Amino acid sequence: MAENVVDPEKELRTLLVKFDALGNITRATWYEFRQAALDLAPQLKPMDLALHAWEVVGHDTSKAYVNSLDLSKPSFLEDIAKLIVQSSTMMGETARLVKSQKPNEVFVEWDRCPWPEFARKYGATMEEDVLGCDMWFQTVIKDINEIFGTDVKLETTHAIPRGDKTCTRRLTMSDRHKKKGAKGQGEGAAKGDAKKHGGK
Amino acid sequence: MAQKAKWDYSDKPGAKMFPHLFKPIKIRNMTIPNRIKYAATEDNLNDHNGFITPAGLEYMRERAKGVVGGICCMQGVYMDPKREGQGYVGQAAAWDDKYLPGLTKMADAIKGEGAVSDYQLMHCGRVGGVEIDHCVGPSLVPQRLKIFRPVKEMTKEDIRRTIKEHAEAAKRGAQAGFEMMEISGIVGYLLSNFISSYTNKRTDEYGGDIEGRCRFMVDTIENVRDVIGKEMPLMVRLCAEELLDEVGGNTPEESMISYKLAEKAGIDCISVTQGWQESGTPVITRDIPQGKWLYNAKRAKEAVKVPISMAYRLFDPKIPNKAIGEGALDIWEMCRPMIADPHMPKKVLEGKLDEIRPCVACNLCLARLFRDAPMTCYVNPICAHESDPSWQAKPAETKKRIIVAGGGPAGLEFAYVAAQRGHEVHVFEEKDHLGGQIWHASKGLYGDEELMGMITYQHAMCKRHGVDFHLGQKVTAELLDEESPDTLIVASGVKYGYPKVPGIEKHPLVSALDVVEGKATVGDRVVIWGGKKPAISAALILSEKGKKVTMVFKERKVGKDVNPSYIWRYIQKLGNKGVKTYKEADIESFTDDGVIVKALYETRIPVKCDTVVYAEREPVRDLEAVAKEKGIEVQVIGDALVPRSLSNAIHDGYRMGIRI
Repeated sequence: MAENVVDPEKELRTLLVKFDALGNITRATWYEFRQAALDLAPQLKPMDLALHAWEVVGHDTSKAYVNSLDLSKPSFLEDIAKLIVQSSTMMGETARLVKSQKPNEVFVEWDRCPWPEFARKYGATMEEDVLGCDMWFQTVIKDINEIFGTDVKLETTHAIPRGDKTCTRRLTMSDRHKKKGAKGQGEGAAKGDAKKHGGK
Repeated sequence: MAQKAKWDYSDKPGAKMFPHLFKPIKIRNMTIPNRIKYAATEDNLNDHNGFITPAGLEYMRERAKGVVGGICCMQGVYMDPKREGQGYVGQAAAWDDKYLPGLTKMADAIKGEGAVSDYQLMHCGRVGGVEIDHCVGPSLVPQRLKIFRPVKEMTKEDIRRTIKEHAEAAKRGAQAGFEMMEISGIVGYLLSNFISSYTNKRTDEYGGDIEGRCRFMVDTIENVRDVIGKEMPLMVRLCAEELLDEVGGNTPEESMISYKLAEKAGIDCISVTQGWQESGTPVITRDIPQGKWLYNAKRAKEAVKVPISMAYRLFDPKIPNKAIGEGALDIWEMCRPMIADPHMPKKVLEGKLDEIRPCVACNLCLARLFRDAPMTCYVNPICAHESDPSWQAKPAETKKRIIVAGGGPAGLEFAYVAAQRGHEVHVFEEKDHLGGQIWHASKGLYGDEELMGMITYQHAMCKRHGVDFHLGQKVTAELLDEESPDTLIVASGVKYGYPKVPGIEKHPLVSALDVVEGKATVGDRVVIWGGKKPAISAALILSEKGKKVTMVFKERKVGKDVNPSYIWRYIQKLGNKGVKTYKEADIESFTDDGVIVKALYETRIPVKCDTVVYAEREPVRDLEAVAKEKGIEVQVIGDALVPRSLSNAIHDGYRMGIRI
């Protein structure tokens, strides 16, 4: 029957439109909540508020990440980068993993990010956007290092809100952790620590 | 007040062609020799403290020359030190005597060109407060447009102070030597905020019914009249039709009551306007037919006895000439046509109609103002640079023999400017007609035929300055050998192309140009590959024919090359026609029954279609290398450099023309 025919384009398009709208609502809500907090607590500095909020988000994100990471795998660093790409894509950004020639180095590159546009719309500074984002990732990395005993480092080399063409983040870790990552040991440690941080 | 010196138009061809435009009119006790008025236009050319600058003065001097004895109104001044009434960062101010020297220079500049100097008081009301955190209005009605500041409701004391500020600023205008004065009550400024039932919810004597809502206007008129004396003509610009039905704005009948009350309060001439910035109904974009709003002028003529003036899509002098002849209008008012060509009415008088640089009603000028940028014009590169000698065409120091490859807007603009400077210029055009991309673009819908007026103008200017045309002739390496020019200008425009993606052979591909020219055969379901102006034109033409159209483009928004004050019209039309758009997307592959669109968030969406129209442009500049090899000086302009808009082509051509 004609009315039961599924139009794949229509279905996908509907989902895409909803996803896009939801992303925008999320960003708008973030800044509206920020405004409400500043209205209620005028002594707060917007930057301090933003950094703290992103730190809270970072802790939550790291809980989700640790269950997908396995220190015994040689791809540990790359897997962190992949998770960052995944989170970013889910938030409406366009990001990709860029492999390096060096073994313990990987990059995440964003060429599209809707967040600065919302920052501008709601009167937040571009620097708040950059540093907020940094705080998110640095918190995630800090938690991962605590849980896995690693020394992963994340560095922001380019930022769209600062006028760069992309946002680029460089992830590195030293060799010594790879040796430590015997199968089973890392996994158990990771899962045990994840529980402390409220992971499943 | 002294009458203006008599202007004799009797031997001018334009006065015979348009007799009604060049006959005198009396406003109060002043006789104006013609029916032409340059309407007050913000230009953001003044400094950010409201002082008039040389750039602002020269801008106005050129417009004053253009009205050939008619009325020339300077931009509206804001009148309060708190800057609540300021709607534009470069708006002139008149709230203190310190502004008098600048205002006097402005009045002198206008009068120096023989025009009637007109001064406007403009409190921007709910569109104001551009440099502060709020604006003011009669009531706290939230803004519909995000760019405007939150509204603060005026107290009675605020109202009384504002009326006094109008009177004080009016006094300064008279002291500065202006001969005529007007109060602005258009598009959502303070006067209209009080008059409109949408924005005035007051229950005191300044609100209520239409008479109450007009009280602020009446009090203002009376206070201004008190300080300027009995002789000076006083005008008001008032909305005849707010087009705000969706938010409970005034009815057209209420608007006419405001006209009658203004007349009763002592107004000598009313300028008819329609629409508000907050109205969703367009009034001045290119898709609005010229002369559409004359019915409001006619209504005004029937409602009041004072002369009626009007602007709003009256670009072709035939239209106001006829309307004045029929008694539907008294004064032809304009701003955008004289932004595009400051001497427009003068050229009308001289009968040089094809030498008028036509406004294409794109509203780039407005887009700039709302972004706190100085005035600029899409088609007039000199606009707002009148005071800068480096922007003017001066005789060339070394005369050159120049070949221009391409007869589009960039090549033609260059050609006449360079020829005017003394160069020998030859335009070679491969096709048998001029116009380049504009020849195609003018076949678009909704007024796009007006774009071709620019080519007509450039062609006339080329003829006037002795440019040689070689139509149907392509510039080749051999031709360059034969002609041996000193300089080659590559203005060869674009070609339409597409990347090779898997399965592309499965579908017939047609170009956007073939669609706009009606040459292409397309099926019922069409995907347009591109999102810029050619793609929009093709989408509108096909959807108008009932085709199911989907646009796929890489940019974040449709019409990246269309200016922000016009794109909303296209978006509205595309939406009304049911055109689907995939932004930040591309065609990844072709399938048996359509294409796979790689959309946002890496989503792959199958889109059924039977025809794909490619609408992306690539520059054509092969000749650059050929010329370089031969040691010929070469410059690339217009789309051949980077495919962009008509404006970029014109501005490229002009700038190269004055430098070469």
